[in-house]
Amino acid sequence: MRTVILIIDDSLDTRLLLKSILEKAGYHEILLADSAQAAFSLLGMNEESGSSELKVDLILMDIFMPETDGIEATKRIKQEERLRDIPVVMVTGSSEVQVLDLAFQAGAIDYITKPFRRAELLWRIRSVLALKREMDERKKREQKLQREIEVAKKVQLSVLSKPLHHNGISIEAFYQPSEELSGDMYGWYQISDGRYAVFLCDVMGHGVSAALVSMSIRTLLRDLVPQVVDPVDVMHRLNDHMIQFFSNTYSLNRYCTAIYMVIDLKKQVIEYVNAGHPPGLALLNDNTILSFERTTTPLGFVPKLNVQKKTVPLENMSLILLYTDGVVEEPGKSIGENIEKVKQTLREGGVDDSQALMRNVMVKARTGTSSVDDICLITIQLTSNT
Amino acid sequence: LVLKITVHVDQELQEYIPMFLENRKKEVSLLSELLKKKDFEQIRMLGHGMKGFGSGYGFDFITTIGKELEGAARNRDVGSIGRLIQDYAKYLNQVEVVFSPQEVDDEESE
Repeated sequence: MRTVILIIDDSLDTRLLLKSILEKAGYHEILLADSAQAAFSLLGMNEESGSSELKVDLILMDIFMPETDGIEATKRIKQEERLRDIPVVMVTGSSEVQVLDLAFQAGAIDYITKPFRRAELLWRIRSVLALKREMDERKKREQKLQREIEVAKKVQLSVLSKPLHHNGISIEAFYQPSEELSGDMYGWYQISDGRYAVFLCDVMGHGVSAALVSMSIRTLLRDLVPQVVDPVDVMHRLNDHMIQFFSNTYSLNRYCTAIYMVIDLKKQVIEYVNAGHPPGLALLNDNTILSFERTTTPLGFVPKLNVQKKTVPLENMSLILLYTDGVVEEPGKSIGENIEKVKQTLREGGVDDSQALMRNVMVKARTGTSSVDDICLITIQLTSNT
Repeated sequence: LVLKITVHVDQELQEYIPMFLENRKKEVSLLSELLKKKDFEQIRMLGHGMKGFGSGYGFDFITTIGKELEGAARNRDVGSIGRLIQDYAKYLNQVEVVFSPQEVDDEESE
């Protein structure tokens, strides 16, 4: 493997000695700099663009040098983003603790005191280079994983329903993953003329594993909703799915809370099932709030789920807000109090725009929009009822 | 009769040794001049350098002298510095290099 080592030392004798030892040990790409400034030039640090083709794997740095000493030089090198990962080993005639302490603070990874034994010098170099290779590999793996997560994020965002604006109904969402990928998932579908199904679920946890579960739910729903409309049947199928795939001994147990509702604009009713989800809230024309409370336990806990469906009249209902627990859960705060704040925000109104309303809810229900949990809100504006 | 001091040096360093020894002789002259000027800081720095590379080339005595020069310069000890420079010059006159293919660490013989 090609290894480039840069020796920075004002003593020609030391530079040549180190070069000879390294070459004998099989390191043939050795660069020599008689000062920190010469090293900066070699590393491309004096160029305006800051770019240099030179790839250095290890720096052996003298501490006591005229003008810029080895400690200052190390600091400068470590300040450069593209050079930061190059390990710097101090080769010094000083064994004073204070000097070595400053060297480590500046970013040195190891030190060798002069006069050094060749064997010791080579052990240290091999050890530092092995660590560097391991770090480089890890960085590559992390970058690859990050690229894959970014693609997965785009895929996840692409399957979310787009805002719907039909005669009598408008549906929009606010979606904010706590990490790159979210365990929250939503969707809405027009079942027939004037009938709409709206779904929101929150898979336990967040990140990649929760996102994979939520994506599997999304795929199931896409095929299920056109054929099975009744909320009870839909929840039974989803529960079976969770039990079958995510509650076995080969994977961590996963469950999700969910709310599924069918809005019928012609019959002016809503049928819904709430499986352990925070209550959905509806604003009525008399400025009171109706809650879509829990009707069953979360999905994925028990095989035979006792699902209760509720039917509520749609008349006098102007707005429905659905949300995941990330909106109302805050460490050290009562969820009940935060839900009351959400209700108050709905009653106060003052904004016609759904996105502005959801932002208002976020700000008033919590101290801000930052969260350790995934966050999702859905507004359903019933425009013919306002 | 001049007693020779034999120093075993790694064969790999052979090409550097003539210049290395030439520079050491210049170093003796430079140290003497610096002592006349009482430039203890420069003497200390030269001693520090000698301490660092001496035994790396196989010349343990240079490392020892360098270390003592560094200390004497720090103490501004004119007498000791003078004696050390004389010892250094004498050593360089007596030294005889033998190149060896094996790595030889810390070995000197008279």
